[in-house]
Amino acid sequence: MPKTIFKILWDRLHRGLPLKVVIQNLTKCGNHYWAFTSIEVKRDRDTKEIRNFIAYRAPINNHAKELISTLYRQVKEVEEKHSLEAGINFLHGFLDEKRLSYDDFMEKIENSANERGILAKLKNIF
Amino acid sequence: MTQRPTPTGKEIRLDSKKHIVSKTDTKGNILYANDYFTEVSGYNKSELIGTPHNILRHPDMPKAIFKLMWDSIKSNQNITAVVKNLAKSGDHYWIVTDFDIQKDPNTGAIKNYIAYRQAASKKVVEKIEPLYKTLKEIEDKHDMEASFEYLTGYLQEKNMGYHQFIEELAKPTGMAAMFFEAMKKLF
Repeated sequence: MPKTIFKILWDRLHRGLPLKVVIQNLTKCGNHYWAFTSIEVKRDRDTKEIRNFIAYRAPINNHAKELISTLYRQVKEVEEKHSLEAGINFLHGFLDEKRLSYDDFMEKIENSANERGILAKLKNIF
Repeated sequence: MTQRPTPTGKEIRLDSKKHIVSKTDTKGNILYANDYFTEVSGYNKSELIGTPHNILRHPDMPKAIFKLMWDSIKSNQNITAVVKNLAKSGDHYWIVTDFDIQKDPNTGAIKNYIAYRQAASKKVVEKIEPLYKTLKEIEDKHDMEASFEYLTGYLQEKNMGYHQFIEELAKPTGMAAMFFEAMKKLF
């Protein structure tokens, strides 16, 4: 997992903004699993202070897994050879290329199960 | 400045369906490069990140064209330009480039440039190559100001700006144009 992703995640959450993120987690035995994670921000009813974060995790399909793992591998390499800042820039560049915001991108990943057929067909044309 | 490779004179044929994409800061330092960029240029991502984009500059390219390009995008104007780039191997490839200009939402100052490049067709290269050769010769014998003047005169004769001139030469037509637009937006 690239540090870039956790940096973006915590920056967002500490500003009180919910987010969706794909995370590769490690189990105790050393296996891993990919989770499409939706994180909500819970605030104190009276003071409005941030109290808790609640994460909901769901599986992702192979198409999304392939795309995300390739992206994360590249971001991680940039991060390690350069800096965390370079990793963040790289991720933003990736999104800019597609003319998507981070949230739009996550939405596409979330919906990719339905779109997969159409996208695969379009990609084959080019 | 990084040592640039020696040109081999060999042309790399590009896949006309793919885009070479990069994002730079306002000084031209690379922040992002897509997979096709690394594939064609022969540089890996870590080599490209943080490096000025002119690492790809081919010695045959007249400086006047880059001046034109920078003048345009710095003043927030997209420009379609034809460029001969130098890969790490010393081979070269011809591209037509297009820009997205990103501004700071608060200050309005330009923050980044995103360049989308596609293969330049044979027809475009055949038209452009002799012009660039002339410009380069003028630059070598005189200076960039002289070649810039020459270029201005050349375009005036055609009654066009450079952007328009290239668009006329390079623009995909009909269905192809629609598909290229769709592709840029494709996820």
